[in-house]
Amino acid sequence: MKNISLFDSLGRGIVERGATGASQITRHYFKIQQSPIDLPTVYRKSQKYLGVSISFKHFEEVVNNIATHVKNNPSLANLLNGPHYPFVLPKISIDNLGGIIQSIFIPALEASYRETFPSFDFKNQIRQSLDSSISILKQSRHENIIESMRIGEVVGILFPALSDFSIDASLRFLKNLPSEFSLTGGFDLLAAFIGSPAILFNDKDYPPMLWMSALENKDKKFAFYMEAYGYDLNFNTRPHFGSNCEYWVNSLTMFKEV
Amino acid sequence: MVMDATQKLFEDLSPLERQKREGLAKRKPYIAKKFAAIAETEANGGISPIVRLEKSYLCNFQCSHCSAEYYMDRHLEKELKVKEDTRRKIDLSDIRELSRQADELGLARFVITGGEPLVMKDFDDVVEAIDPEKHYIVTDTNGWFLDSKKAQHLKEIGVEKVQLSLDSMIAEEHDSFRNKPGSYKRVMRAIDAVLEANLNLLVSTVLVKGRAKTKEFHDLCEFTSKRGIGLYVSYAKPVGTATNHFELVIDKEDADILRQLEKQYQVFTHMTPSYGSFKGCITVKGIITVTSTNEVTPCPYIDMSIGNLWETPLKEILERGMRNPWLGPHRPDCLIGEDPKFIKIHTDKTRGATFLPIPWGEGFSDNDSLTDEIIPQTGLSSIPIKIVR
Repeated sequence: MKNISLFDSLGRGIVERGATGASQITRHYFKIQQSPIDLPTVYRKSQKYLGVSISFKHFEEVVNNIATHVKNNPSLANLLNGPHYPFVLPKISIDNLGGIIQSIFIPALEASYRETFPSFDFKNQIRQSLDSSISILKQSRHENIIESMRIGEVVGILFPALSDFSIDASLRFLKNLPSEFSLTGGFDLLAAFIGSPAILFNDKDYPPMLWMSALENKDKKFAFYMEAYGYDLNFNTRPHFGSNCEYWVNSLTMFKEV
Repeated sequence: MVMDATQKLFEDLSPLERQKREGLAKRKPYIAKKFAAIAETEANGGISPIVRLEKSYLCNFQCSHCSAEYYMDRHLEKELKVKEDTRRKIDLSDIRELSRQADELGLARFVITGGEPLVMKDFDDVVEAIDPEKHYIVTDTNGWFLDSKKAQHLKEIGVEKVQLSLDSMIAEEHDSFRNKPGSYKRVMRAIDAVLEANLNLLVSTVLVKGRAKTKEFHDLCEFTSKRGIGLYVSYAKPVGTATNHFELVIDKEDADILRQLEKQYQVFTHMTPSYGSFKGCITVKGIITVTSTNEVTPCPYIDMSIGNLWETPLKEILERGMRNPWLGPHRPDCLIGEDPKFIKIHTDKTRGATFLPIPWGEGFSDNDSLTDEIIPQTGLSSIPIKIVR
């Protein structure tokens, strides 16, 4: 592992000179307004809305271990300067990614969002069934989380670190990272939102849009994402055309099976 | 997913809107077909912007703030001492050619604007040149001349919709802003006239800082919603005679209050998701303006051109706009209304210009970048962003 940092001082992935699909410099115009991490609330919401059974003490220990592991690695340490959100996933066999997202995780997020923001709305803008229409993007390593969820609960930290990267550029960037990292998909992103519904809440600046980068739609032009609309939160899909822009962020997940 | 997007678009329509669309399909099937194709076009990376046409800037009002004022002859003469504007101006044959090119690209919507379109002596000819069987035609208006007879006439010549400006629900305030006593009453008359003529109607208003919290604004939302009229809200922008009036520019709180009001009332901005489309800022992707000198600007309020139609085909101009890092990419906020860096660039580049818009190459260019830092390792300036399709 190189000692050169892979992330800049704000926790964004550093783009190599000449790399395509990612802007070497970004304005950081779209901002995630991170509050101090409230681990007891993340845990309580995960228990209530996802039915996880891990103890708080164990959850806290694993989160701290992951954070320490990142902090002690010079090539990764800057990640902690950027926004990051712990999450826990339930033990569940996932045979139908879209079906599980739609039937378990989306309702859980809706309930968690309403609890935190009773005056605002979470909306699932996708009307059609997602049954059997989602697969895992090759080389995203997201299948590792899915496999771990089959065996036991999973604790991780979400890092929205790849702003102004295309999904393809994010995959290339992932190759630089140790195997504990994966490109964020649906379950990890949704679990992070369930534990911390205010991820994209920002009353001063516009927050970015977060892709579920590791999920592939049946129509490969389209990917799934979370987006704030004012004080509301939307789950939606749109074509990305392999593009990057300063409004779009891909995330990384580091996790441990517990 | 594309078919689903189209179906969702239809499902999202209210019963009244669905009725209107079905009516349009019966009267003007060619236009309805183009409308129906928009979702698929966008899903495949294409765009279908509304074309705003500014053939003339003649106006019977002189409003306190006007984004078109600097284009007007009266401004050129009085303020800039330009005795005669000798620039070539578009005529009806140019409009026919624009209509043809737009139709070839699948564009379906034209808005006749100005100035005040209803003072144009050749308004009917302009409608004919656009061709109301090929394109859905909307006209902006301040409402002064829009009585029942005029509304019926608009309907007869093929105009489909009227966009009527109303600056305040308080008559004195509206009249004062418009510098025209009685203008509020004329707007109320125009509303009745348009609805009676069975034309579609939008009321348009400008949101200045703080207005979203006022009773007046809520009264306006309530008034239009109760009458089944959409209220189109444009953010105040520091352009035209409002240049350097940054006290009018909204902040995010104002924008977010309005987003909440969208849930209660029939109110929307150009960034409100509509018919399943979540475009955000609609520069080029959702709207362009063609000025009286055949320049194409990416937004009604941006005074920098992305090309001139006498020199460059519309298709190429649109492609140029979409690859510009300010204009093409997806963003949720209003570029000229909310992005401080872009607002500064715009103000600096247009300051002191005699003739607007600033031509392509002098305002916008293919060298534009969102950042202008030097990369430390190499000393090279940052690589312009490319949109990979």
